[in-house]
Amino acid sequence: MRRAIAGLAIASLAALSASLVAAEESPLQRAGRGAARVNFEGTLRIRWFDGVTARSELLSVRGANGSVVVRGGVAAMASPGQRLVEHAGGVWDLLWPSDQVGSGRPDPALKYQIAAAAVATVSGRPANVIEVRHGGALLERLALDQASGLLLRREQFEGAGGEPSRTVEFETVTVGGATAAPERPQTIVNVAPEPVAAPKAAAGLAGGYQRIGVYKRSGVTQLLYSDGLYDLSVFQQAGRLDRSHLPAGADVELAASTGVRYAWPGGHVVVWAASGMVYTAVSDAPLSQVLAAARSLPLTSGSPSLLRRLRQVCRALIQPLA
Amino acid sequence: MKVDFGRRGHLGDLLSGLLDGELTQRAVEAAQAHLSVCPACLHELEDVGAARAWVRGLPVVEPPAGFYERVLRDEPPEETPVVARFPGVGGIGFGAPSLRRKVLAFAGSAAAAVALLAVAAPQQDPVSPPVNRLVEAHATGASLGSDPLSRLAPLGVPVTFRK
Amino acid sequence: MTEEDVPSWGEIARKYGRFLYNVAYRLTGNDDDAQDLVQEVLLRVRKGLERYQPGSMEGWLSRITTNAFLDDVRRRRRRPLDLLPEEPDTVLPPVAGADADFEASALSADVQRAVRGLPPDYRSAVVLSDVVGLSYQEISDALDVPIGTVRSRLHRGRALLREALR
Repeated sequence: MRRAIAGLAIASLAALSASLVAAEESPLQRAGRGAARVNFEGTLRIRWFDGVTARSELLSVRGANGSVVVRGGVAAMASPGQRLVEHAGGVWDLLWPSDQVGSGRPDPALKYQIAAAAVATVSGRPANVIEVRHGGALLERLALDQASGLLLRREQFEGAGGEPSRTVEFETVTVGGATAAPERPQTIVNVAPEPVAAPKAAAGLAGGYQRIGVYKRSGVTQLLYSDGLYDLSVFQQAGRLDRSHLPAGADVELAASTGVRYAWPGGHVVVWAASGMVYTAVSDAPLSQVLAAARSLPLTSGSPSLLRRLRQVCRALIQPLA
Repeated sequence: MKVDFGRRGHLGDLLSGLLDGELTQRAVEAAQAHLSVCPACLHELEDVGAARAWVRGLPVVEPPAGFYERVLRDEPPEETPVVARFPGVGGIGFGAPSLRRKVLAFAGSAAAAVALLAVAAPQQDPVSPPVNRLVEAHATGASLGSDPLSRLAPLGVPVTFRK
Repeated sequence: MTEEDVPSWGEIARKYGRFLYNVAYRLTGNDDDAQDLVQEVLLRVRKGLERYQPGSMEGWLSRITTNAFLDDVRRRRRRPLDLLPEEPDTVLPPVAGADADFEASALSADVQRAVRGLPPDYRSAVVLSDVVGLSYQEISDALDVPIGTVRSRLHRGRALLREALR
């Protein structure tokens, strides 16, 4: 009897595994559909390493009728067709006006090995655990609620130590039931980007990151890339990097310059400048992937080379004398 | 630590202790158990967390021009350094007179070099990326068609980049 | 403890000037009072330096700054005919609309104004925790009050801020 049950469990895992790979979507996309389908409420614990110490914060979260709001000191809301962030005073910035991004993400199975691991109890609920590996190294372990598909825990691994470098998990959660829908924001400031055509922007970056959209918002161009699991944005602003107002971070070498990197609760940020352009890369991918992608970015020349400028100056000086 | 649920059986200032990671493990568990059944405390947690984050998000303010000169005016003479190392506004004011002349001479030739580079390199606007806002723009975009919890939750923690 | 362990007054003034100014600015809410407070703090630093035990310089300086701030508050209360504190620095109106700037200066000014509106005891706790980043124990040492009092002042201060910023 026990062997039969074990066989059934293994068969279920295999079916789950196969279904994940065949679906051409990442487990995070599946979790997103779970969050949109079910009512839930609880507290989320985030743990991350800020480069100096391990940090931990507790947030409250509520989801109902397809809308999700997460609240710490800042509130962020995902509702059908919108993504908003509130800083204070009930004023929400509308950052994205639709549910879809760009041309769709590539198949994550082209780069990653995604497989079901053992079932577990997470946040007091039975969960399917999915592991994502790259070249054999474990990068993600996700626990999805068996009943609803809601993400109960996400662990990201970057070091060799075996401990997660970043974790988001429910400390308390109630799924189903009469949860009040998040209040519709009263005051919305539209800071949605406009999609722009940028044929010269790199179609791909190292590590299988494909460009899925280009946007412009308040003078900043955002190149959005994805490898199917992680999204990576490269923001571009013409000018020279003024480090004096940047927060202190860790120096990092890129192709033609020294940049500065930061850890934030959701991933990594790298800021650098080259050829008259200031770049900011943001992603929840492992740092090694972010740096490889950043180094592979073909540099758009924002200004002529120094040698060409010197020649122009000399010509301008000499010509009137000729 | 005895967990005292204070007035009307609510968590009160234990919420700040929870946010700041200053409660014992037993107190944390008791507080979390209470939060799972008390919408009022959950709402208060949101409120207090918001206020905490706003203050943490206040930018570093630069002292006004002349601040360091005024402050260091009171410096005892025996402590005057050989090389002035403080930030550049009105920077060169200390040190032995011969050193000052050498520094000024260097500054003169440096200025000439800078002038040459200015001819050769057109001035570009200084850019300081608004990192917080770019992170928000990325993370909200990454949540589109994906899991909102793990992608939006980090935004609930305002980034302060403090040491 | 050797002489090398204890920084000189000048080293403290240079290295921590910006830090002191920020703590003072967040406590007093305006530039002139902040500069006066920093001058007073550095005077106390000069007198107290020989008693300094190497450890957390920022904690030690925060203690001196907060005590100097609260001493000044108490002194002003005893002399009600003193000039009112100056208005905080000019606030730029928020920019809204599709071209909304990414600058958060308007929000910062509102938050700073709300901090300045807190009673001094709550304001000190909030600044030491959320601007300086001290632990409850460090704040307890700086303010010379029990940890429970730190927690309740901090909580009450944050609740008042939230009300002020609705």
